[in-house]
Amino acid sequence: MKGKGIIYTLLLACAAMLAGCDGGYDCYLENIAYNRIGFYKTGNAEQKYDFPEELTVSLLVNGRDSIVVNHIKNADALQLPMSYTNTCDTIVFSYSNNIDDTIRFYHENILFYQSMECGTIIYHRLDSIRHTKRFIDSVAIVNDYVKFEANENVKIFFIE
Amino acid sequence: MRMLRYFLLSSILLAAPLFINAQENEEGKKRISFSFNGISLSADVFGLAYSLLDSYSSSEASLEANIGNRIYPIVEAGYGWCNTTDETTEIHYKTAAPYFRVGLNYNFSTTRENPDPKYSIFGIARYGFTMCKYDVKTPPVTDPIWGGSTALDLTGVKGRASWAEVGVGIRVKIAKFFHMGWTIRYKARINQKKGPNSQLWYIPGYGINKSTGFGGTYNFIFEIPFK
Repeated sequence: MKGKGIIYTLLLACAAMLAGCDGGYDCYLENIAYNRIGFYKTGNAEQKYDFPEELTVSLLVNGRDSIVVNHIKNADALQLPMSYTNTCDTIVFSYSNNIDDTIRFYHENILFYQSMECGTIIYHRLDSIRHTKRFIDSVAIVNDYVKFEANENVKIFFIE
Repeated sequence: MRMLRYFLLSSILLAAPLFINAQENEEGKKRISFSFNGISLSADVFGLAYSLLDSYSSSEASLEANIGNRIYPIVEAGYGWCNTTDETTEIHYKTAAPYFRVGLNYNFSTTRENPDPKYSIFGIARYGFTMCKYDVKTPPVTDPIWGGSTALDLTGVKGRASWAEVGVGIRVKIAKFFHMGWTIRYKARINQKKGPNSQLWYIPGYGINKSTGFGGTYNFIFEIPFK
């Protein structure tokens, strides 16, 4: 009986210890999923490129420019918010001497219910990209789901 | 890590009595009997009482076989329901569906000297699963940058989930063929099916959809002897 008592005590202690680990919700706490863009030179998808031109980035919202990045130099990456409701976001890259490139991101928007406590999130899936070719040579989607992780979604290859 | 946790717990609970009996057999004093002694029907009243306090609950009935007053294979069937709107997020969630569990109870209190004790402590192991439909309605979410808003209004989304439970219980004989008892259970979700725009919040039979959780029952048990 003494042996049983010890084992029962051990069992209860183990159960209490394990039961102390209460599980959490599987939910994201971020609000905005950013389209993460890396800059590269044509022909080199491995090494980031510090774009030497002065760069201003604008979102075309309801026909009006909304500047998100103003006159930066030597940038090698960018994060852009995506529309919750539109399926095409138009972005304008403005360089010095009034030269522009326009990029259109076509995407699907996914509103997802997580829980009563965590609410909803919105993430996106990139379908395709179209662009002009003033300084931009090509673009590539490397991760089509735009969520909350720090993964790069798009590579932009600039003409050197 | 989660899988390891409930595997360890269930292993401990289930293996320890075997260890005890092995010791007893070595001493030549006791033997385990595996004779079929009857079946029991059980009804849970804790869930019904809990439904008065919260917007979700469940209630269940079970059928168990008595093998040598020690091992009790068991099937549980219940019905879980939830109908709530969160005051802060203003999200509405509704579901109601049956659920099922299979497993066994192991009576630690049975001895050769006292094969049918009045008070029993037993270990619990279960596998549970449910298939349900649920509704979710969310308030509009406004895009702070691009403008516009969007909301969800989903009806009849199909979901399913399975989980494991381990725990302990106590059972007391109140009268001939009538017992009362309670159980507490540690639950760990094994898997769930997510929809394209939503996931389960309340899982019938499991509770709130966290990776682990707790549950309990308070049972009235009617014994149907076979000998």
